[in-house]
Amino acid sequence: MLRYIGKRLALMIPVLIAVTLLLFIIQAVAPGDPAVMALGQDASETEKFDWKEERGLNDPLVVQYFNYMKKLVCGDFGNSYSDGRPITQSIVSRWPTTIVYATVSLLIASVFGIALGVLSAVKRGKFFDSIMRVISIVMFSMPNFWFALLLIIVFALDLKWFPVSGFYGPRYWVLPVVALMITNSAGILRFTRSSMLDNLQADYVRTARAKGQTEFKVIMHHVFNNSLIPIVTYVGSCLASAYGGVIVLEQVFSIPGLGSLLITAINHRDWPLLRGCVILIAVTTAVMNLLIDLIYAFLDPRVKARFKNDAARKGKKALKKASENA
Amino acid sequence: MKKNEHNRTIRRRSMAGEVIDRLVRNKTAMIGLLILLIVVFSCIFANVICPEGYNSNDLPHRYMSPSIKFLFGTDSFGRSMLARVLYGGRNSLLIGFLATCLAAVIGIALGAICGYFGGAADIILMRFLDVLNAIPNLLLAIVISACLGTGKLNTVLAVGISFIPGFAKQVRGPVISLMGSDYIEAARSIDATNTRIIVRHVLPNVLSPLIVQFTLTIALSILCVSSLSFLGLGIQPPEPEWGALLSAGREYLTHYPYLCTFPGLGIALTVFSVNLFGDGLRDAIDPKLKN
Repeated sequence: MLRYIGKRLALMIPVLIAVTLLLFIIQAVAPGDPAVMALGQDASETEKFDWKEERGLNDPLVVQYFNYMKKLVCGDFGNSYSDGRPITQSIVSRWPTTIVYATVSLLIASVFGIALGVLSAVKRGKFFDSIMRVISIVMFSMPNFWFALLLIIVFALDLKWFPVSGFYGPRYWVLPVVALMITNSAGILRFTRSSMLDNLQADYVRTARAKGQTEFKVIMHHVFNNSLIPIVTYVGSCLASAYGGVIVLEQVFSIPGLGSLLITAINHRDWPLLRGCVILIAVTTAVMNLLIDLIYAFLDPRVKARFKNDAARKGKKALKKASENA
Repeated sequence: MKKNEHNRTIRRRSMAGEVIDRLVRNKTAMIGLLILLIVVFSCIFANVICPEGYNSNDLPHRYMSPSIKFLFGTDSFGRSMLARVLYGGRNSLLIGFLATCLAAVIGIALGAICGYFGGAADIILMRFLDVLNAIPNLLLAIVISACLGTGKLNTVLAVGISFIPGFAKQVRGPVISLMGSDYIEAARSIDATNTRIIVRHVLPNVLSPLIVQFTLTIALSILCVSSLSFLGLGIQPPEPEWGALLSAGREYLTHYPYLCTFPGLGIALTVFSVNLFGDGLRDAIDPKLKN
């Protein structure tokens, strides 16, 4: 198991190197001069030159890249162009907000999505199912930033129940969480429903019913447990993309998270900051994918057995070696 | 005469015919198609519906609420929102569609090359796609768009590139599983070129699930385009685009919420109808999958 995790983490390294390379190429061809962005339009040529010299921007791109990678290996993302702060510091101050926001929203979304999806599959073809199908496809199709604006219009401006934007107390959290939750729970519902329906027709379900199992147990123990893997994959991928900054919604609600940091970085041509964010997001996505694969092992006894056999074989080998040495 | 009739019945049973038959009988898919056609045609004929154009200022009629005269109201320059939403729809739909085409053409080509040739080509291309895949879709589009700059063509490129890996992965797997089949072997044995085998024998056999993927990607890419414009990348004002209109309307949310309602409705309706149609198409192409 540990070896598998190690192997997967090692496989991330070439991808990350390529991602940094890609970002450097993008930086080289992108329009807009960071020096102008930092110093203003009327900065003189020498000022701009000095500013660039200080940050090593006058070196050839290859040299810049290797200097950057050298620092990166030591965990130093460099300093921001616009405020000079270390990138790590900016990320540490912003990322937790996004993580909490995404986790809370997706937890609620999973509860609703999975419960309604299971119900919808069980009541297939009935009125409840049709209603859920329509609602889920409508919600799934709605751009979440538009839905967020509608929420603001109704609940913040008309009814004045919640504040329009900001992220200070629980009252500020309600609308952003609902906005992110709705679209995601619609997706989870659709996924759960189709995954449940795939399994409902399986032979083991007929067997379970034939031996007189109660319908509840058939659904929850047999069908639901077997439907979980695609659902977990889907929820995991939603969570992974949300951890990478809920870019548009953070802009709508002025949430100081990773997404809004990223947009600031792009608007100011703050390349080190952008690089830092994108690398972080790439790592997060890869780690989340690894976690999803590990969760499979817990959900699917077949996968678990394979890991266990590997471990047992290795354990026996180690034991044999030890006894030989003794 | 009899032979002709026989031929006709056989032709009627062709795969495409059966798919279309099933599709036409699927009510929700047809509703989706109908909504989509209404949206598309009203955007195409925007110049007939709103002959004044999207950029004609009418300062005395600023901030008019939706009424018979101004169906969707007017904005801060007195420009008709109906015209702006319809002309904006032209941009959103066209860019979304072109970006999907770009992603499909490049993605299918890359996927087919990877699956068909295998070996070094496969490894190198798949690692490259892994790199693109390591960054979430919208973020990738944002980064590329920041690099290329704004404008229609650049937006098509940014969104298109970000959807390439999805198509490539969808093609590669089935192509690999086809490689052992007899008719590929047969084509090789009569000395057909690789290009000919890929285009004539491999691709037609993996294309049907791709039609569904293509349809659903159009919905995603329209969402992606409007997200980009909403963030200030993508299409720039005064050129209308649904996301850009939403972003502009956001400033007047407190007093003139209708400025945000209609552009968003445009996106939602289009994506909704494309999704409905795409689901129906999937059921029609592979009835086994239908739940």
